[in-house]
Amino acid sequence: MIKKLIASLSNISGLSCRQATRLAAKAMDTPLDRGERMELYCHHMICSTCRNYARQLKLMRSWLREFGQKIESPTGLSSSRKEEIKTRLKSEPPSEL
Amino acid sequence: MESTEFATPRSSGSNSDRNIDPTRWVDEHGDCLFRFALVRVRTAEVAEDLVQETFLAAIRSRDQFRGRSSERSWLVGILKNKILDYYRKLGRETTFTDLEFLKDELPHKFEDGFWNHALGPKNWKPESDEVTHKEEFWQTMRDCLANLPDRVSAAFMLREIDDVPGKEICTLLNITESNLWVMLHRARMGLRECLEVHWFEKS
Repeated sequence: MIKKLIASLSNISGLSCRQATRLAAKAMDTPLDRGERMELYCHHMICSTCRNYARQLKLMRSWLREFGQKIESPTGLSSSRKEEIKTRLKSEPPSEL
Repeated sequence: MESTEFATPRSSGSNSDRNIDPTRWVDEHGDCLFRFALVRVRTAEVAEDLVQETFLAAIRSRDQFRGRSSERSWLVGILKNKILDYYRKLGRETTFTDLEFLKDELPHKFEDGFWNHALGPKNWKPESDEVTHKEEFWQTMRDCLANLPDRVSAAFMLREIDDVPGKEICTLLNITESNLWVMLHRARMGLRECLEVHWFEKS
């Protein structure tokens, strides 16, 4: 019932949920034009699921930015690899100054 | 010796007369470089190789280092280029996994283009700040990112982590813009789904 209602209301706004998820993704990379913004806005007014989706895309971006800076995470270069690299570095001829 | 910035009390060994001790680099920066690479290439083996290449490239070009930046950021700069080279190599291969992954837009979650609202995105609780303090959350993030095919992951990392513009990613990975948007859309959908199932529905 509710689903039907949402579907018919969404038809007025012109977007299906699938299209709304694509638009929300597009908005993460490039500014939407006026029409697209309006369509997405109208869809979000009536669809909490797509609202969640759009908000979560932004959340994930902020987490990933933080993730990229997480250089204090527990793993490190294995000690055997460190020794191997040191040996390789020592065998490099000294550069000319 | 152009700079005294290299002279640290810990510097020792056969290269100490040059004020540069490359083996000290490995102890001081190795782990940090490794983690920087691991986040972006996901496989420990690949990350280790890239770090090794970085140190070798650094020792060959050490004369170009004038101490304008810190030793650390100089090395990270070299590593970034090594990671881009690795991505470029991925861009030359189209794999079956890519195609399979990109084809699937979670069809079972939609009915006639509308979310089956029982299966669609839920309200995540707790959001934001609270989760990022938990190491287990980041492990889930790592596991979920590991599910993405290599090329899709490369595109996604460049866009989301390092904020590289779409056009540059296309050139680097040798793909069209519409290809890129599909990749990013699917990566986002896949990661969201995975985090919801393996973190938010569990906690």
